[in-house]
Amino acid sequence: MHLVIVGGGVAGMTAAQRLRALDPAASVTVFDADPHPYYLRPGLIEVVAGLKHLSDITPHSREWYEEQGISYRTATQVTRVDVPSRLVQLDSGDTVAYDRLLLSTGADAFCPPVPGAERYGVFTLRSAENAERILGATEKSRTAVIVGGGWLGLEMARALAVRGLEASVVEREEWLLPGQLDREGAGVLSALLHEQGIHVYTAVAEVTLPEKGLLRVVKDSRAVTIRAELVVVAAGIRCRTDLALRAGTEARRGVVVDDWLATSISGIYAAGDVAEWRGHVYGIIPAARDQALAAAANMVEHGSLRYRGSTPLNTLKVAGVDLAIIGDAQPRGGRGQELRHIDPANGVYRKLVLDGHTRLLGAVLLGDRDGVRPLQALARSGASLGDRVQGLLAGEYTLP
Amino acid sequence: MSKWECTVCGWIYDPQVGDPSQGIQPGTPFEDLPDSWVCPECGAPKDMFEELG
Ligand SMILES: Cc1cc2nc3c(=O)[nH]c(=O)nc-3n(C[C@H](O)[C@H](O)[C@H](O)COP(=O)(O)OP(=O)(O)OC[C@H]3O[C@@H](n4cnc5c(N)ncnc54)[C@H](O)[C@@H]3O)c2cc1C
Ligand SMILES: [Zn+2]
Repeated sequence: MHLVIVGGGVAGMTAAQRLRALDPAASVTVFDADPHPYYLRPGLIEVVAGLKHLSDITPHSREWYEEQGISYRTATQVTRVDVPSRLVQLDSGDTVAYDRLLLSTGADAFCPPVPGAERYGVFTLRSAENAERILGATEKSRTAVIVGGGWLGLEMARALAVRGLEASVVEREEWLLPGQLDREGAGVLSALLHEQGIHVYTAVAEVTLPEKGLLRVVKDSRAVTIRAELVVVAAGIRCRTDLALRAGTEARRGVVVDDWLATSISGIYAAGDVAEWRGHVYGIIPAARDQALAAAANMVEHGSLRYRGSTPLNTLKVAGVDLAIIGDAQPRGGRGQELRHIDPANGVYRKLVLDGHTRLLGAVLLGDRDGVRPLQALARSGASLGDRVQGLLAGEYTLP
Repeated sequence: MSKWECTVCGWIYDPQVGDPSQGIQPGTPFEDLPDSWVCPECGAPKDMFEELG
């Protein structure tokens, strides 16, 4: 039995180790186009910040995988899947036979068209090579603009500010992190970023690069020009579906998989950022791992492990600030009653969402790590908060 | 029992909470986590964690 994995990111490597454990007799091969052995992608932010080297975020050497009984071929791209003959073709021209195939090719950074980008160049961050190129460019730049105010864009801004660049973030939506935060919470976040020397431009309608080192945005029908020797686009991801599409599997935004992580072609599975399950492309590590574990089980014995979805991350650190989203936090309003505690001086924003019986439906906590567990427990328990509401809103979590 | 921090993403393992996402019961000391356990946020293995004082 030859189990072949295309793409050795977190999904591919998690699956390889699980396959190894589940079927000691099979051979397991991982192909990855990246020349560097597996590294932890979140650590690339610290590489850009100049705080870490690639070796600090590389858990194991190539030899370690071989010792685990995993054949690991880096700097090797799979260019084609020959479905009738069950072969994959490599960029060298060689072909390798598979019995079961896992497509874990991940995603690319999505780069919307920015007029002028083709001339003056923009960066994106996905791979170690990208991180090293941005790091190199920081040596010749004093100003940077990040296009995209999601969590990755904000992390980039912090990293570049740490490198000593004057960083700005431009965001199309009316406020930062619109999927997670409401306007008031985003206001507190913007103030915290401002303290770190990061400028924030929201509700930006148009972005162009009119000349080298400058970025022009249109905001409220007015044009503003920002110095930008370095431009990084952080506008989400695009699943790497091309290999799967050419093999003939069904793909929409990602490669469509069922509850067993099987694609529409027998013997071919998909997991991680490339996969679309019941309309979801999660784009996060916990989901890539959950999917990889289920895919591995089903590659060894189809039907043995059903995937039931992953819980989106509810706590994250954006630009050094703790942010937690609990339950239904209704960023754009909703049925629940919203109570807010806004304390920009201490960098704290707390919002509670209650139903008519003072039961906690959801919460948003910015700059308040201590509240995460108690509020999570209260939201789960569904108990009435009664006269504790004001205390909780003020951050008093211990029962008197 | 001390807490341990992931050196890659900053996630903190709190033995009082465990890690329900990987079937780790509350009360499990870091030292007793299985070798296959990884940081739930970034996938870093155990040896990339540092003990918090
Ligand atoms: C800077 C940064 C920070 C992040 N931080 C977090 C975080 O804190 N928490 C979180 O949950 N998520 C984070 N993410 C998202 C997370 O990295 C992804 O969800 C995760 O990497 C997905 O894993 P994957 O294995 O599906 O894909 P990837 O990690 O993208 O791996 C896919 C691999 O496949 C290889 N490949 C592609 N096509 C081929 C081919 N044809 N032949 C051979 N090899 C191929 C690629 O070289 C790549 O190595 C971050 C992402 C970035 C870029
Ligand atoms: Zn981690």
